Amino acid sequence: MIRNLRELYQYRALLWSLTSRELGARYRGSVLGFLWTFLNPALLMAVYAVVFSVYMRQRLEHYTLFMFVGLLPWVWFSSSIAGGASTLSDRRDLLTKVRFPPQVLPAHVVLTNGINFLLSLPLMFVLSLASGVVPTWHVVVVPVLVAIQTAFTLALIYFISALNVTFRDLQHIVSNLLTLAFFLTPILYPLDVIPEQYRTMAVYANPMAAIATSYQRVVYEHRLPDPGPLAFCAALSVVLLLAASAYFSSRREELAELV
Amino acid sequence: MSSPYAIEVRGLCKSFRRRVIRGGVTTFKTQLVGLLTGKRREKFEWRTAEVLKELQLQVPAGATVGIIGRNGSGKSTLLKILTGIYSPTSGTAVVRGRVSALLELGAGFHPEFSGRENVLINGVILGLSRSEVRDRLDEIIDFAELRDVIDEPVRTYSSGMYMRLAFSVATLVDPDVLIIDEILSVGDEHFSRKSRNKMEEFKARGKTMLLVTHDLATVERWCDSAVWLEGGRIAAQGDPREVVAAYRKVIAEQEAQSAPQVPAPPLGLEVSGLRVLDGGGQPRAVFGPDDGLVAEVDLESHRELPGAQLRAEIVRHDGLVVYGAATPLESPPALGVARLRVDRLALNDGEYSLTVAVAPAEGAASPALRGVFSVRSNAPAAGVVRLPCRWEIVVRPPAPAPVAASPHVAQAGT
Repeated sequence: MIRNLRELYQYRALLWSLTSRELGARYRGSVLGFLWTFLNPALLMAVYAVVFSVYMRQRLEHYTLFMFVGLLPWVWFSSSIAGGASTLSDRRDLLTKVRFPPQVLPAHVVLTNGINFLLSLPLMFVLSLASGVVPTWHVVVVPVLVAIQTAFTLALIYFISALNVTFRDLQHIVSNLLTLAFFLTPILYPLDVIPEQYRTMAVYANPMAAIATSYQRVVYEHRLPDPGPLAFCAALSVVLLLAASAYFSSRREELAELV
Repeated sequence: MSSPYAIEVRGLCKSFRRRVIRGGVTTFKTQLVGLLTGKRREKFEWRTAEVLKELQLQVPAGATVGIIGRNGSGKSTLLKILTGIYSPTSGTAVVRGRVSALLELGAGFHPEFSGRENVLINGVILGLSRSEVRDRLDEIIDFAELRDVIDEPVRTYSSGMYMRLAFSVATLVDPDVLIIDEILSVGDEHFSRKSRNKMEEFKARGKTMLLVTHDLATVERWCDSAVWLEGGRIAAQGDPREVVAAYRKVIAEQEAQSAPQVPAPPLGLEVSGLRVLDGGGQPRAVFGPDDGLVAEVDLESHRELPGAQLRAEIVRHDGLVVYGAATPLESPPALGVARLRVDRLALNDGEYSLTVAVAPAEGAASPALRGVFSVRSNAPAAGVVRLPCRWEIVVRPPAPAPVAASPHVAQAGT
């Protein structure tokens, strides 16, 4: 299973090529081109801002910023999972015609969306400043959060994409589960809205909740994240990633035949 | 320890488990009805297909080996195992050195990207580093002859241009073992010659090559040995000309058997039984170019058929008609034998078929009888026929006085 990750490093040139192509291809042919990388999250933010600060007024101060802080990592997560589910089954051409390390495919989906996430971070800080909230030193925690989220997302995608090769229903099931997970994750609402008795479960059972609330703590509340859920989430992500790599390696031989 | 073999395959078996759907076409309606009634009309079944069975193969380093065989004989599966795309069910397949496989040209090309960008990414997919590809980018573009369009998206390319670009990238990887699946004929005449030269160059540099092709002439001309796969087993291997000949013979015989028998109205004059004999009247299948050949047919005549003809044709394996003639058949006996006597075959090496039919002056001929034979010589030559010719070398006495600088001018002066 370590071999799986080591190979991923060996093939980093390939990983990077696929990622940069993906980034370039996404807005290829459109007039605004790469600008969409910033425009998309900005427009998404505008939509939520209008709905939640005009129609469904929230009692939270700087609600738009609060919501946006949780939404950005969620978009990274959900678009990685949604796009990654079919990443193996869609790339038959690569898997069956070239000697190709299959673990690069799920990884490049996470990386592509991760770079989009990183590129949208400045937008978050611009919004923060515009709301009159000056970021504090607490933002040094952000790279840690990014690392944990990368591991967790990669682990899930390894499982899902490998399973999806033989069980194609999974990609449709997953996209619906993502909607459910979105509303179960404290992004549009703060954690303390959840009734007391469910709150602990909500952050421990849902790693994305631990991650999203940590971002909110750091960027919006200027506090350090709650260590309990975050540490649990980090440990879980590492274990999951090792298990997922092992599972992926065990299926690797047959992927080319089944896809 | 180094082995003389670049590729070593021992007891290689490969079977696939395939899910087959039985019971017709799946539509939204059949699915819905199936779900509601609890009965699925289509039944899934797992079937195991043995594609390769106990394969043994050794390819010496630096050899060029051609793999021939019919569709579904396991050729591509073997290549994919050697490339590392599939893993063997049992047995081993060892390839020594850096492998590059050209199984499909342009695998991984993105239509929206320019030729240049695709070359970069495709090179990386094939195992080069980005700087290696960048260094050879110009070489690739020039080889593909696409300098004018290299910055346009490849979706605007013609299929020939697309293939040329893909081929150029693929051969740029400098492998020890090159595995090629049916792509030698890329692009137009000019580029296909160029790609052949590229392959020649690989060969000259002592690279091991394994190619699957249906172009048997290429195998004969080009390969050091040939492997004929039939139903996942090696039917024959060794000298390419012998293996190809054996393969062609089997194909020709099968075609002869499965040729559609169109029931023709009885002419009253039939040929039955055709024998290919040598000059001495003995049945024979392999001839030398100087040998004589006799085709003997049995004739049955039941009625007068004015203007009847005997038609004979000799066709090479690739469909080229080497000889064809119709001879009037006057007053055939009620029961007899007709012999077509060829004193000297004068054909070059190859597989030939000989057909004989009778035809009335007008209307359809009787079903043709078909026999096969091959020609083998010790000194094969190019072309179809061996013209009865020879070289004469005449020694010219030295010129008496070498005065002029050029013999041509000297001649013109006299």
